[in-house]
Amino acid sequence: MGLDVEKTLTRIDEMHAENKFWEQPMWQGLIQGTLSLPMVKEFARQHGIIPLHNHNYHGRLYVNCPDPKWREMIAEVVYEEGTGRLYADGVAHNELYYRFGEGVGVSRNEMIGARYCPGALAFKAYFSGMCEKTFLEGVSCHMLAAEAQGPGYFSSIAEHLKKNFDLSDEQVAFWTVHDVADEDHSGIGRELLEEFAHEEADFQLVLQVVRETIDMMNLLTADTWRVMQEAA
Amino acid sequence: MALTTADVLERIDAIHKERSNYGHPLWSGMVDGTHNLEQVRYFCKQHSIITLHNHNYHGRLYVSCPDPLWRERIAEVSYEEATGRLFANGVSHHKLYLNYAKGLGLSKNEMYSVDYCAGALAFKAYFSDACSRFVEGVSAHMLAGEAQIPGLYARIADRLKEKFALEGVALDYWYVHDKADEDHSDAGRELLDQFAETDADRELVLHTVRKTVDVMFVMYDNIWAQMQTLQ
Repeated sequence: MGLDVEKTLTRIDEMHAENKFWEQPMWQGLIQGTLSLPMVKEFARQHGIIPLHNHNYHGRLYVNCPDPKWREMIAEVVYEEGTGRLYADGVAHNELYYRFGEGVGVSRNEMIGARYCPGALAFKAYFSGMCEKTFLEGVSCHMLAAEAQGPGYFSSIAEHLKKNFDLSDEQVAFWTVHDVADEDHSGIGRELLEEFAHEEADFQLVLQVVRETIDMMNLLTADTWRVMQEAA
Repeated sequence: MALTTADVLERIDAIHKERSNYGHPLWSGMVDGTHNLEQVRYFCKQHSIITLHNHNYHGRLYVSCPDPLWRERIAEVSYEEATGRLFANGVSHHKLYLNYAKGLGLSKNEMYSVDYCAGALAFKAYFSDACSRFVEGVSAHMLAGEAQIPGLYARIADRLKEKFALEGVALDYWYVHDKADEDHSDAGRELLDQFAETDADRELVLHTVRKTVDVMFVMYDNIWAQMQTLQ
């Protein structure tokens, strides 16, 4: 049976529901506040592969975007991440992340010089590469797969960081800002598919990209969890 | 002897003086109002290789930028160009350019299906590539490409108004950029102090500025050659 916008979006929702990232030990530990400080420190270093390298992802999406309306939307994301002037009181997102790092005792220099695990390096290579492919693939990877995981859970992570390790509101702002910023991409998914996916092959491609990206994120999580356990 | 920041900036000024946009008949004709409507229309179409393709340039600079403070600045430029919300009353820069084209009688469809000349395509290829490496990208973009705009664009706008009765939104593209690109000497100084510490780095900056101006003139020559057939 052929795919359409509705069926594709339903299938994407099912993939996320089946994946249950919140049940993975790393995320579960963060959400429930059961991890030790050395583990959270290692997480902070490894997870930097996303927020401290974000320009590699959104920037490429901006370059490859063929449509001025969509470019406006992505330029907004780039501006917010580079300056924080839309939703983060003028604090750039890399700075939000450094503050989280400092809150758990990881200095900026340690963050910049982090020795990333292979899963993190693989994720960066995959994610950068996808954001450089066709716009449909880039947005599917970024917004329909990667950013769909997290919102709704990040506030809980922030609360436990405050409670367990005495982080300030400023130091958990990275988590609270992103809990809202990435909140609802279903509207974007619909617009993307209606505008850029016209044939069965396009819908299949979107599903394949979302599936692969979820797999890559699971790889990142598993390898990060491995080094976190070594650090414990 | 090692090149100081002042030496490099002085040499860059000399490169621009040696080959100024105003010295090229394509631009002097725009400023002096000696082109006919067909010629200006042709130039408008070809020049869109910059304005309607800008995300290829600034976007790549953003990706290749290694420094958060510089990224903040480039994110600002990208945001302004895609939304116009900082300096252009919320009119994105591609829209500013389409408004100018419309003033000349060119439709949106025509602007999005331009048959670009080889010089314009060469410029896009060169510029996109340069912007993929930060020091070269900023040198090509801010120290070469945008350096000759301020002062020139407002005069062109005045002439377009006088000669072809363009007004209001049809001229905003020229006025906005006359201001927006006003003074990049500070950016040049910061770039050199922060990212070009060795003589080799500074030579690379100078080489890039020189090469970029050369490629821009290849584009101008090619566009001008075609414009001359539209008498």
